[in-house]
Amino acid sequence: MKHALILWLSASISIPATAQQTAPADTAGTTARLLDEVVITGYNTATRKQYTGAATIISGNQLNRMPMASFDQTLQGLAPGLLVTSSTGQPGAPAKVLIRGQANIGGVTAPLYVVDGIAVESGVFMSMNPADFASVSVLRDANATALYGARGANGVILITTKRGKTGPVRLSFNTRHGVSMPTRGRFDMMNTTERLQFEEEVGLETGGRTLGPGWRFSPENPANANLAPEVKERYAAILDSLRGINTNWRDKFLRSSAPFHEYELNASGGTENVRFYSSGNYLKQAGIALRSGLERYSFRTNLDFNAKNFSAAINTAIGYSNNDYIESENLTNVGNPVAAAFYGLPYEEPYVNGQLMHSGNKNKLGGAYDTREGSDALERMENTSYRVNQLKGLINTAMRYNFTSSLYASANFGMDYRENVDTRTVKPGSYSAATTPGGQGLHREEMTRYYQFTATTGLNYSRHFNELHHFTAGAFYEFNRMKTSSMRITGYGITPGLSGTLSGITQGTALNGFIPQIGGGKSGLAMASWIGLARYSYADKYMLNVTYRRDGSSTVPEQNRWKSFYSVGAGYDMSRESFMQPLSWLNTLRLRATYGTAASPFPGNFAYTAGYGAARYDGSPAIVPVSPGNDTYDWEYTKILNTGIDLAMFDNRLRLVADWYNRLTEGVFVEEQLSQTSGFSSRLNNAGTIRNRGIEIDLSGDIVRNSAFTLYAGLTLTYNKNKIISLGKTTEFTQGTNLFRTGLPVNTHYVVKWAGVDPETGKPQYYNQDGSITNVNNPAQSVAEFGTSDPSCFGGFTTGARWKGFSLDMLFSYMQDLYRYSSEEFYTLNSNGNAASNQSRKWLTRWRKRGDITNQPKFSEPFGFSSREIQNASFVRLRNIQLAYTFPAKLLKGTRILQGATVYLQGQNLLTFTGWNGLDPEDTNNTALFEYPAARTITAGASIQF
Amino acid sequence: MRSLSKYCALLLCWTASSCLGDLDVKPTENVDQSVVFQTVDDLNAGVLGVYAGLGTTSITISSLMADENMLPVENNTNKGVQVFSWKQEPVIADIGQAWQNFYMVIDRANRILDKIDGVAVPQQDEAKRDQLKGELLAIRAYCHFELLRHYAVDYDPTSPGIPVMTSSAIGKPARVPVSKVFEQIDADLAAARPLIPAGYTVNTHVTALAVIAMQARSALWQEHWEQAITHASTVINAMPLATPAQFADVWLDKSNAEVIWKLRREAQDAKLGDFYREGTRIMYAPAFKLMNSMNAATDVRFNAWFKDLGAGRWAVNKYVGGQPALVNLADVKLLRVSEMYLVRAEAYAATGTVGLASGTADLNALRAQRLNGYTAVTFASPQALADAVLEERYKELAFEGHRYFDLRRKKAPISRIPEDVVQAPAALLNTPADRGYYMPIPLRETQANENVSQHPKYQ
Repeated sequence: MKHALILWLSASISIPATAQQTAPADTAGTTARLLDEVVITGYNTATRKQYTGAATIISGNQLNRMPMASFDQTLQGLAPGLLVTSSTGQPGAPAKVLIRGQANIGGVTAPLYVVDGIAVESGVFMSMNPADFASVSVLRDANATALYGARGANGVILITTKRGKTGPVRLSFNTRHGVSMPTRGRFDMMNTTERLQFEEEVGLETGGRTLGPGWRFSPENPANANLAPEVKERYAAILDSLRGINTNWRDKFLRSSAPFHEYELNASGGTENVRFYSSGNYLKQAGIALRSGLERYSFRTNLDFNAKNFSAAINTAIGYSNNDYIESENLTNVGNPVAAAFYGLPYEEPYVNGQLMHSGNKNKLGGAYDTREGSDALERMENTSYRVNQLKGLINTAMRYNFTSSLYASANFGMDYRENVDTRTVKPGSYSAATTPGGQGLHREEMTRYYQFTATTGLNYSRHFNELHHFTAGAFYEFNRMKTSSMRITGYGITPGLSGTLSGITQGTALNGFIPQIGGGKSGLAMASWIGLARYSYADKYMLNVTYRRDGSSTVPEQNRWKSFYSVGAGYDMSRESFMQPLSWLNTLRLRATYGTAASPFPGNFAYTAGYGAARYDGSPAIVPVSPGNDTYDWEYTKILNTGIDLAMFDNRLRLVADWYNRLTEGVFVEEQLSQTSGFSSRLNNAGTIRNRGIEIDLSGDIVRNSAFTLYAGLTLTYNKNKIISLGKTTEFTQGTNLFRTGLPVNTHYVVKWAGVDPETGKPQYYNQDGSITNVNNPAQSVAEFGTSDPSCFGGFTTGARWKGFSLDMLFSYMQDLYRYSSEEFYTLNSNGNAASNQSRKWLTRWRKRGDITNQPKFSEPFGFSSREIQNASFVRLRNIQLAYTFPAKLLKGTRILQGATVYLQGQNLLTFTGWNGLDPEDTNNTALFEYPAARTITAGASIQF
Repeated sequence: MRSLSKYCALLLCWTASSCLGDLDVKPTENVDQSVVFQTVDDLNAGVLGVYAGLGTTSITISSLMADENMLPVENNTNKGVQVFSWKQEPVIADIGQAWQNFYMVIDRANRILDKIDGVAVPQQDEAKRDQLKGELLAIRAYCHFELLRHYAVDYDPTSPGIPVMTSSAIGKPARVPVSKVFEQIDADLAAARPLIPAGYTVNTHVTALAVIAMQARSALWQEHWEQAITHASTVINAMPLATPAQFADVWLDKSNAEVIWKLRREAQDAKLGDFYREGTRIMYAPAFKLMNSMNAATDVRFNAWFKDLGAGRWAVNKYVGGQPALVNLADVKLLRVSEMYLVRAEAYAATGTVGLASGTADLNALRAQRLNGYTAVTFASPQALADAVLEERYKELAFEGHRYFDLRRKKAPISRIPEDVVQAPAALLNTPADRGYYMPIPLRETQANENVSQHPKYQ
C-alpha cells in the first residue's frame, strides 16, 4: 500500500461526480433524444457529442409506468443489447439481466448496478421505488465498462435518482389500483369425464393397472364382474357422484383477480442554495399464486446544497418489504401450488361441509376415492408460511469543491445495506407437520446481511480552448468493501399459538427430539482502484475517449491481484463536414469505434484459497481441507470491440443508433478434472474462451408530428451470436441437461432425439447418433440439435400517439429463437407414478391399436427424456399499454390548488403470442418445471400535482 | 480563511479515507492453509480431520467381491450389484470410492506433514507434536497399504503398484512397483513407531501398538516371515485376546477387549451397518458359505455377527451397534489382536516344519477363545496349517475388509455357492485369470492422469 499514500494525497484534494449533475431531461415522447442527451458515463458526465461508446438512456417515467416492484423487470425490450427475462411471476422478484450475451459458465452474468455513483447489490431491488429514478443508463461497450474495470465486464447499469429544482415546493400524489390474473396460457388437463374414462381405458389396456376410481369401480373391471348386484349398483353410484364433481384446480391455486394498490406522495423544490426531493411510497401487490404477495414501504430524500465553490448532495433511501412466497417453486412436488394446479384430480372435491378434507383427516371425514393431491397442497398452503422481510438502505454523500471554473475535486461516500429475514413455518399439529419431530411443526429463521461501502475521490478538469478544443480529464481513487453474514436457526416443537416467532420453539433434549439446527457464516471482499479518464473533441467533429483503470481485489491471489484495464474510443461527426452541408435533410451522421478490456469476478470471495473448514472426530472439533486452492486463479477478462453509427434525418424525425460488437471473454472458468491423488477431484481453471458477437439497433421516428398530433414508433433489436471458442484441455462437458461444446453456444440442449411412435407397436422411438432408430432411451445417444434456451434475437417495439391531452403508449417485447424443455409435459404425459395424478388431454390421442399414427405412445410403454418435449418458447407480447388523459392547465387554473392532473388506464402483459404449450413462455432456465407464471395486470391510476 | 477551511476539509477527507485500501481480506468460513497450523492444538484439530476422513470402503469392497455375502432378492436397489456380480467397470462409483477416499486422507496427512516440522511449539508440546507426526505417518502408511491391496496389478514385488504420495501436490503420478510402495509403507511405520509414546493407549487413534500391528500386516503381505513373527509377537505380548464372555460386547462397543485401533463413529456419521441392512431391507446377507463353515452352537462369533430373521432371511449383525436409537452405528474395528495370532501362525507355517508347532499353538489359542469346548488340534504338515489359518481368517476377519485381499494375496479363486448368488447366478467362480478378479483404476483418474496405467485386464 505504499503508493496508496500518494493517492490519498491527491484524492483528498478532491470531491464528486455524478450525483449533482442535472438529470437528463425527461425524454419520453420528446424528440431530441439522440443528439444532446446527457450520457452518464460514471465518474463524470458527457453529452452524446463527446461520447464514443454505446449507451442507452431510459427515462424513469417510462419504467415507472409498469406496475412491477423490481425495476429491472421493467427494462425488458427498452434497450438494445439488454436481455431482461423474468424467472417467476412472484411480485418483487428480480429479473435476469444480461448485457450482450452470456460470457462465462456458472460465473457472474449480472451487470454492475450503480445508484448515484454507489455500487449496489444486483438482483435486490424490490425494496427500491422505481418512481424515484430519473433515468437509467445502460452502458455496454468498452468505453464504459473499462471504466469500471474489474466489475464492468458484464456491462453497467447506472441509475440516477430524482433531484429537487429551484422554485416553489411542488407536491405530487400518485395512486393506482388494479388486478392481476394469469396470462391464460395453455393448460390442457383432463376434466372429470375424460379422466374417469382414461382410468377405465388404462385398466383395460394394461390388463388391470389401477390409476383411480375410474377403473376400480368400473363395470369393465374383471375384479368387479362377480359382485353382488347391490354392490354393483353402489359402484355405479360412486362413479356417478364423482362425475358430478369437476374441480378446476388452476382456479383454486391461481387467483384470477389479485389486487394491486400503490400510493405515492412526493415533494420537491428549493432555493438557489438548498434543494430537495422527498418521496414516500406504499405498494401492495398480491401474486397470482395463492398466498404470494408483496407489501413495500419506501422513502427517499435527496438534498442538494451549494455555497460558493462548495456543493454537496446527500441521498438517502430506505425501503422495507414483506414478501410472501409459495413453496417449492420449480419442483414437481405437492408444496408447489403451480404443480398442484396441474396434478389435482378433477373429481377431487376439496371441501366437505366447508372443511378441507386432506390426507390427514380424510378417514375421519368419511374417506375419499381420490388421492387428495390437490387438497393436500391446499392444506400445505394454509399451514405453512414462507415469508421474507427485507430492509434495504442506500445512503451517500457527494461533495464537490470548485478550485477554478475548470477544475474541481469530488468525493462520494456511500453505503448499500440490506437485511433479509427469511421465515418458514409449519403449524404444529397440522398434516404438514407430520414429518416434523413429534408432529409439532417447525420454525426456521434465516437472517442474511449484506453491506457494501464505496468511496470515490478524485479530480476533474474540463476546459474549452479557442472554442474548438474541448478537453475533459479526471483522476479518481475508489475503494469498495463488501461484507455478508448469515445466521440460521431451525427449531421444533412449536408451542401452539406462538408460531411465527422463535419464542415458540421448545428447547431440545435427547428425549423430546426437538434438537434445533443452527448455522451461519461470514464473507467479504475489498477492491481498490485508480481511475483515469480523458475526453477530447475538436470542433465537435472529432472525438477521442481514453480510460484507464488499475484494480486490486481481495478475491484473487496476490500474483494476479493488481490488473490494469483500458479503453480507447474515437468518433467522427461527418455531418459537420462542409461537404455534407448540402444534404440538408441529414441532421447527424456520427461514426464511433471503441476497444477496451474489462473483467468479471468469479463467485466465491475466497475461491482461490486452499482453506480448511470444520469437521469433527471422536467428539472433538476437527479441521479438514475443503478446497484445493489455485495460485494461478485469475479474473475472467473481456475484450470488447464496438463500432457504431448515429444517424438523424428529416429534422430529427428519424433517428437510428446502430452498433456492432465483438465481445471476447478469455480465461473463462472451466472445471479441470484433477488426479485424485491430489486429495481433490476438480478445481476451477481459467481455461475457456467465449465469444458474443452481434448487432444492436435502436430506431425511432415521429411518423406524424405537428402541434396537435404526434404519432411515433420505435424499435430495438438485438441479434447476439454466442459461441464457445475454447474450453481449455477439454472440448465439451455437460452440466445438468446443458451441453457446453466448443463451437456451439452455451446452454445448448443435449438430449436423445425423438423419432415418433412406431405405428405397429405403439412403442416410443428414438434416434441413435448414427441415425438408426431404437426403442431404447439411452442418454449416451444424446445430440445437440435443439438449440439453446438463450434467445439470439430479442428487443421491443414502441408506438404511441399524443392528441390534445390524450396519450397512448404501447410497448411490445419479443424474444426469438429460444427453446425450452417442457418438464410439465413430461410429467403430465407420463405412465409411471405420475399417471395417478391428473394428466394432459394429449393422452386421449395415444396409440391404441396397430396402425395408429400419433405422437403419444401406448400407455404401458415407459419413455424417457427426449427432444419431444423441447418446444420453441419464442414470444411476442404486448408488454404494456397505457391510455392517459392530462387535464388542460386552463381547466385546473380554476381550482387554484391543482397544478396538473393525469388519469390513466393501463395493462401489463395483455397479449402474448407464442407457440409454447404451457402457462407462460418467459423464463430464465432451460427447463419448464411448474414455474410461477408471469401475470397480466390491469391498473387504473391518477397523478395529481399541487 | 478560505484556504484554512479548504485545508481542514482536505485533512478530514484524508483521515476518513486512510482506513480504506486494505485488500488483505481473509476468509472467515474457512482458515487459509498458510496460517492454519500455528500451535499444537491446530495440529491436533488437523490430525482429527485426517481421522474424520477415513472411510470403510475396504470392508464393503471385500464384502462385495469375496464370498462373505449373499445378495438377497429383497435388495432390488441395484446397490453394489455390479461389483457383486464381478462386472465392475472403471466408470462405476463403487470402484472409485477407495481410490478417492484413501488418497484424500493421504493428502490431508501430507498437508500437515509438509508443515509440522516447521511449527514452532513450546518445549512442553514437543512430545505431543511428535506423537501427532507419528500418527500421521502411520495413517499415511495404512492408506497406501489399503490402496495397494485394492488397485495393484497384483502383489508381486515387481508388479505395478500404485502412485505413492509423500507430499501434498496436484500432479499426475504414475504407479510405482509394489516393492517400492512397501518400502514407503515400512519407512513411514518405522518412523512413526518411536514418535508415539508407548503409554498412549487411546484406541480410537493410532497407538504405538497399532503401528506394530501394521508392521506385522505389511511383513505378512511381503512374506517377510521373520519380521511378521517379531511384530506380531510384540502385539500379542502386549494385549490379550477377548474372552468368550467379552466377545459379544466388543461389537456393541461396550468392551474394548483386543481392539488395537478402531474408528469412532457418532450420530450423524455414516453408518457402516446400512451397507448390510437398510431399515427392514436386507441389502447384503451373510453368505451361507460362511455360516455353513461355522458351528452355530459353539462358535461365539456366530451369534455375535449373524441374526436369523426367520423364513431363511439372515442379517449381518456385526455393525448394528449397541445404541437402540442409532441402529447400524458402530465403531469400525481396523486392527484386532486376533489377526496377529493368525499372522504369526501363517508366518510360522511358512517357515516349514520348524514352525509347525508354534503356528499350531497360535491357531489353537485363538480358537480356544472363540469356540466353546474347543480341544486343541494338530496338523500333519505346514501346508495343512497354512490352509487352516486361511480358513480361520475367513471366519475371524469376516466383514473386516480382508477376505478379498487374502484370496488375491494367495492368488486363489473366489468361489461362492449357489445359495449365495440367487440374484447373480453367474457369479460363482472368479479366478486370477478373470477380469472381474481385479479392481480397475477409476475412469475419472485415468482421464485426469494419463501417467497412471490401467490394470492390464481393463485395458
